[in-house]
Amino acid sequence: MDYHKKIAKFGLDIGAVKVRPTKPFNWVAGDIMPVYNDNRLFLEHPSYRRLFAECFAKIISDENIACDVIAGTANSGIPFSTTLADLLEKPLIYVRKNSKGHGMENQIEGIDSESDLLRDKNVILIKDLISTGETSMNAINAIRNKNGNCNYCFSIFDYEFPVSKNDFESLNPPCQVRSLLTYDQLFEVAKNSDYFNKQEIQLLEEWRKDPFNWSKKYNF
Amino acid sequence: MDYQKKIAKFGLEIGAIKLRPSDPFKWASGYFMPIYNDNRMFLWYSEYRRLFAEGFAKIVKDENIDCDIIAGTSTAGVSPCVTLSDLLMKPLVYVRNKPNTHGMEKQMEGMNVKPSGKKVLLIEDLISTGGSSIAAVNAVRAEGADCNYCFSIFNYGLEKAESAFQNLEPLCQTRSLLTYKILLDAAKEENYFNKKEFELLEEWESDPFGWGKKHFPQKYNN
Repeated sequence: MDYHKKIAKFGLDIGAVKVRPTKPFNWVAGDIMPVYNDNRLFLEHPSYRRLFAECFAKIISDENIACDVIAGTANSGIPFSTTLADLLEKPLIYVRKNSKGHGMENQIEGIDSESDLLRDKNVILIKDLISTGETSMNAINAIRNKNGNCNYCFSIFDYEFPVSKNDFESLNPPCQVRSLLTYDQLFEVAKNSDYFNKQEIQLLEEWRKDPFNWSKKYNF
Repeated sequence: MDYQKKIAKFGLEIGAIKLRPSDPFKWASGYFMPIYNDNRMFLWYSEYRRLFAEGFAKIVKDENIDCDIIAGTSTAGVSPCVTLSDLLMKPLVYVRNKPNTHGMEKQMEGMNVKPSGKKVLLIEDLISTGGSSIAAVNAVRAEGADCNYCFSIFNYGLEKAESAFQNLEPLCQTRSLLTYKILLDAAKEENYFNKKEFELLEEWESDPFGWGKKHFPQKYNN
């Protein structure tokens, strides 16, 4: 079985991916969506933490990606980046959403604020989830501001919204995305199993066509 | 060399632990203290991440501590907690200082069902005055789980923190890879300071909150 199918099935089983068409979720950015993804629920399962790290490591070796440092986004990217960095025995840092309002805290943790340790290092950014892409952009820019190269962002789950795809491609240089599971892969798995009923599948198909206007259309 | 001194020496070398007896740090609480610690600086060194996890695992094994779930305090305790829970193949959660305001986020993240009756081992990077550690212990207990052990990479050994842990009902025991005493021994072996400075550092231990005022009164007047 392909690993993305295995991850999709298990994610649906443990509720890491939830669908609630009649009582949609409020996303952090304010959008009202019928789907919710919480990869933190995988943390309970050490074999999946390990599987994610092995899959990420496989992408690195298959594509021969240069990698000096692993970076996780705070909070939910930290666990997955740690397991990967441990597996590869690489340096680890984590990136906060922004440095404003944190006083003493740096946006990048794990190096001194004045340190030049990241200069010319190839940093792979680990996200648990890519939705609108906003936190990824913020983290990539923070790494690049410290003179690190950040040309790859790996995630466990990616909605592959046009807005995030466009953001990653518009960066100069672009940042390439690799995800263990995409929304479309997940949907295929769910459709061919008994996870959603017919009505839910229809609704998700409808949502997928215009996700950011879906809630208005249905008066949520 | 035992692993504790190894951690102390490396921490001093990379600046994760800073000792400045003659030019103290101002802590967030306003007190001037001769020590500063940022264990996140160890993250760069995978060998040390591993060493911390092995150190924690050894305590679990030596003391035969029951442990179903490993919890890390957000954010600095999360990474050390991950490496440990990977080593022990245990479920992992992380605990926020306070619950998040939006959506489905909880103070304790990583579990779908309440961990009622489960034995949770809490991992902190640093125990200072104990405030955030105690809040994390209480957050775990509020979920119905037992939290009777809190491990840290470093513990300053402040009386305030010790008594806060002791006063919990039931009490929560602390274990630390590194203590202030081990740190001073390591600094001595490496001749980091002169005699006068070591005396200042030793004195801090007996009266940490009065130390700054006594030796650097002018700093408190500014």
